[in-house]
Amino acid sequence: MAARPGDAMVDVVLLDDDEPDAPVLPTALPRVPRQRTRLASGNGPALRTADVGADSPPPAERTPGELARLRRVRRRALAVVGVVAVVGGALGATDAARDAAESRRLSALPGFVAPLGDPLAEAWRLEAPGEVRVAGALLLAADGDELVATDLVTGARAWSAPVDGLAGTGVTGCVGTAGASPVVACVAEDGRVAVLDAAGGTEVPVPADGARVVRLLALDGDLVRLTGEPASLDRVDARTGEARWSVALPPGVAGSEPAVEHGLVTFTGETGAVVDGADGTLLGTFPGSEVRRPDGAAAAVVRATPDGYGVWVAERRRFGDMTGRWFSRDGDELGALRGWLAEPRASDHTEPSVLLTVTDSPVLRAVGPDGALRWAARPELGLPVVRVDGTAVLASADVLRRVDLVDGRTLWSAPLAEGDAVTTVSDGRHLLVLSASVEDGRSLAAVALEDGRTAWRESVPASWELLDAGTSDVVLVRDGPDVLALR
Amino acid sequence: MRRPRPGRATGHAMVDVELEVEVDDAPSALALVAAGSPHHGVVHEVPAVPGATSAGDGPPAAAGSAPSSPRRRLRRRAAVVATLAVVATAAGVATVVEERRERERAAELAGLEGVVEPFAEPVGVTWRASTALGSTTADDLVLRWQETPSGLELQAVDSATGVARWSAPRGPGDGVDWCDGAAEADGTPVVVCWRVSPAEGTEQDGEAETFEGALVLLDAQDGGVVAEHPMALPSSGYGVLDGDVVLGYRDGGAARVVRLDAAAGTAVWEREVPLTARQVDGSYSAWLTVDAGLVLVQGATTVVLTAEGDLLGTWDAVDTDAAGFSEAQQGVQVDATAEGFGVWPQSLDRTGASDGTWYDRDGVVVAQVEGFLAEPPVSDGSAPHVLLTAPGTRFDLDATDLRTGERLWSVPLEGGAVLVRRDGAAVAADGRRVFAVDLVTGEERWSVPVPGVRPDLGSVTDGERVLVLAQDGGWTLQAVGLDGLPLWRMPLPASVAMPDVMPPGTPALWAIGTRAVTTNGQVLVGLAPGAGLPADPLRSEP
Repeated sequence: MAARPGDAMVDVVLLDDDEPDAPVLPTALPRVPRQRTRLASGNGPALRTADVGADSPPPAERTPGELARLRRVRRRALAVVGVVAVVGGALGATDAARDAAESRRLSALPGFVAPLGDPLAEAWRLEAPGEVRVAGALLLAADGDELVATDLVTGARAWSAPVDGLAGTGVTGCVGTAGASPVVACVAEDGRVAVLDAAGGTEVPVPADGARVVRLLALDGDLVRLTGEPASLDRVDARTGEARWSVALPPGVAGSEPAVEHGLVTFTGETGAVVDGADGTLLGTFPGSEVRRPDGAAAAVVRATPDGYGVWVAERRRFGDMTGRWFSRDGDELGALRGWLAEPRASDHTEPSVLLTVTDSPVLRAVGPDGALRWAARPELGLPVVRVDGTAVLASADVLRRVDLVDGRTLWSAPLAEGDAVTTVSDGRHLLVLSASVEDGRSLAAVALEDGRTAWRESVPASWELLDAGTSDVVLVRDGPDVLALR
Repeated sequence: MRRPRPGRATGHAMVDVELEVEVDDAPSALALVAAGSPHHGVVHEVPAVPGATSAGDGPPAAAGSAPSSPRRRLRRRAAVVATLAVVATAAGVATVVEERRERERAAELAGLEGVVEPFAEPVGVTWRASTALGSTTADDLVLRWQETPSGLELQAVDSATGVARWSAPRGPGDGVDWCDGAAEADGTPVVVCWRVSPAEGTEQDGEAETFEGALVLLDAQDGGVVAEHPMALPSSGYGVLDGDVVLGYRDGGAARVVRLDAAAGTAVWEREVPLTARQVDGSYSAWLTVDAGLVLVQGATTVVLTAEGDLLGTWDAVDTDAAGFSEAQQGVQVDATAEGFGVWPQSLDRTGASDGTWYDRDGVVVAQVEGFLAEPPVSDGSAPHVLLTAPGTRFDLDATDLRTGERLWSVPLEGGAVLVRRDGAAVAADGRRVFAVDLVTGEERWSVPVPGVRPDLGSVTDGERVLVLAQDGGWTLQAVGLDGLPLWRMPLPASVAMPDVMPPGTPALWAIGTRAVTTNGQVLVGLAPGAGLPADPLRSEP
């Protein structure tokens, strides 16, 4: 008798309530081989199923597990044939070009990577046993007392710079700016900031203003600096240091964690806050609960999308789902969201009238900015890993599926095999899945978001770990002491 | 939050405690429940309840009250001494009775499948094992693949101790390629394995393939080969019935099901059932499972057989708009319990309609049900006439009376799951709390707040308590008494640290044998009360 939680409900469930919670955003879903949750019942354990295909018995060397995979492969192969038969004749060069352009457009959006249509190959490899950071189009690593920058696309060493007091452990953070004259800026433990030309690594002589910087962020071509004493936030031209704006921060905000999200500077921590990155307007501050949570969790969590932002204030004890307040970009409160925001990082933000949240259950809820429920889905349907073209791709332990954001309708579903780990690495047309099995070892596959079929699958070393470095140009992998880039 | 009346129905509370409840200035209901609970004395974290006062927080003596006279004080002291004597005597009797009841319950629980060793106290890691290359189970054994200098081998680990009992190389030759499940051969517990190589011929060349696989039964204790049965065809799925192995073959438009004596390799019975429906591509397909003692042949045609091979029914796939649904070829969804089985014709991998029909174990229609099966993994057989389902169109838990076919009750259950049936109650969790409802009336018996509880990741019970995973700031293990008491909570052991986002339905906490285990997919650890860190993981017996 099936006893798995979640076996119990269908695709989409309409509810008549509404309420929100903190970012449980899928980053990289874990590689968790499915195991039997169900306890052996009756006269013995329920065993793995296998399947005999069409007209002939499967090759004798296949285990039941392999047969199960074979069944899936055959189904996917059928799907491929079907798609090709129907679409193949009509798909002309113009469509292909349009599709390629669309892929390029998506991969240029934050959260997406370069097109994954073809199997990824190792573009370059770099020995970097320590922590690496992506700053703009560069990969930064410390090598002794030098800061080494590697071109993310070519893997060539762009430059290395012996920056006094900034290399190695002295660096607390580096960011890379965008724009025509990008820089790499690093902040040291003593609050000094060094600005380097991203092209050559030469130091940019920015006039010192004596600010003791705590955190440094990149906002377009500028730098956003958080200083502790006095607590303030300012935006400066990265090369000249000219101030764009400066705002004093209310008590408690400077101790929170800042982030730039879609042009807003958000603070998550004991006191949350939101500052408009364009003009420095303090849109709101949100004190956390009076009693700090015993587990040390952030008291006030702020998340933003291109269309607004939400605030979730933790309570020391709670007896229901977290509820967040949702605001417009201008700071107008629009409604209450039940559950944490569940918007994936890889998102093209289409269908902005739908926000995704997830309750503790975890039920996925699609709501309007006012918190009104549009649809809800049972936990076994999964949580969002990609949002594109008005749809969301959901991953559970067993199944990958794509749903329509407007009504929650399932567009396709594809089973995941044991050992499959769905990542959040997507180019908007594909999604990477890392797999492991006794038979085939480790492999990396791209699932086409069009229909859920596996576009390609390549064997990879067992030692590979995907790095979540937030780069769009390459897929970064750690392999022991090495970092390598896939394109 | 509703709380149980003290002494009520949980089976632990005692009558003399219940009488004390009626005293006006009694301590809080929570404290009284605690006093009557088998968990009394266990360190646990009790949530703040508005208005509740603990036994030690009683109101102070009224200010300004007149001092008592010596005689009155003496009388009061005598009364107090007498009361204490009565209380002490009652407590002694209560202890004896409680101990006897606990022994009786322990004996009763020992026979319940899926019940683990008691976890009255916070648990620790007793052993850990890498499962990165895949693992299965057979009774109390964890079967994990590991790399050795000579290649892959399957290692059998005792789930109670973490000790490696034996290992078997991967085939061919004397090895095995796949092991999962336990059977019996002449009374000896065996692990069911397959060796499926070598194969000869290829489909592409048009040559007939030769299957030279074998069903290999390994002694669960030492891994020795107890029996080996060459197979002419690969079984399409398999299961275990009362120690026998059940195999399934497709032969053209029919499926042949064979129940095999594991030791002798001879057929106990053999049945051939026609496959009357085909897949979308025109092919036949069939695979076999065993569920709650029933044999299921699944595919475009679904067949249900008894353990004796009697046909209970066949159902063909309904013509539905199944495009895009990976498991659409499955004829119908069938789920079974000890009481019967249900058939959901338009399930579409549980994303379709949840209207189903419930049959008894003889294949007779009992009731129409709205909702997929929502029965828990562990049950003491309470109220067997009540069937739990969860409808697809609303977040509810429904109960159907199998004697009348009527719906008994419906309670909200948003995204949650039923964890255990115990003492006439269904204990469930829904992301915010663990709670119990009476199986017959649907009345809520108790509710314990557990913010962030994730029942979809699994749970275990020792029959007195249930252990769940919750995420509320960080991942925790939390124990709740089946009488409605929050018991203890602790951070998830660091060796199985889980990411913030766990895909729904990922098995992370369950039972192997009588041991609770938890995993993050890479590492599996055994849990036991008071255990320290493992001295040497997966140590081998000398």
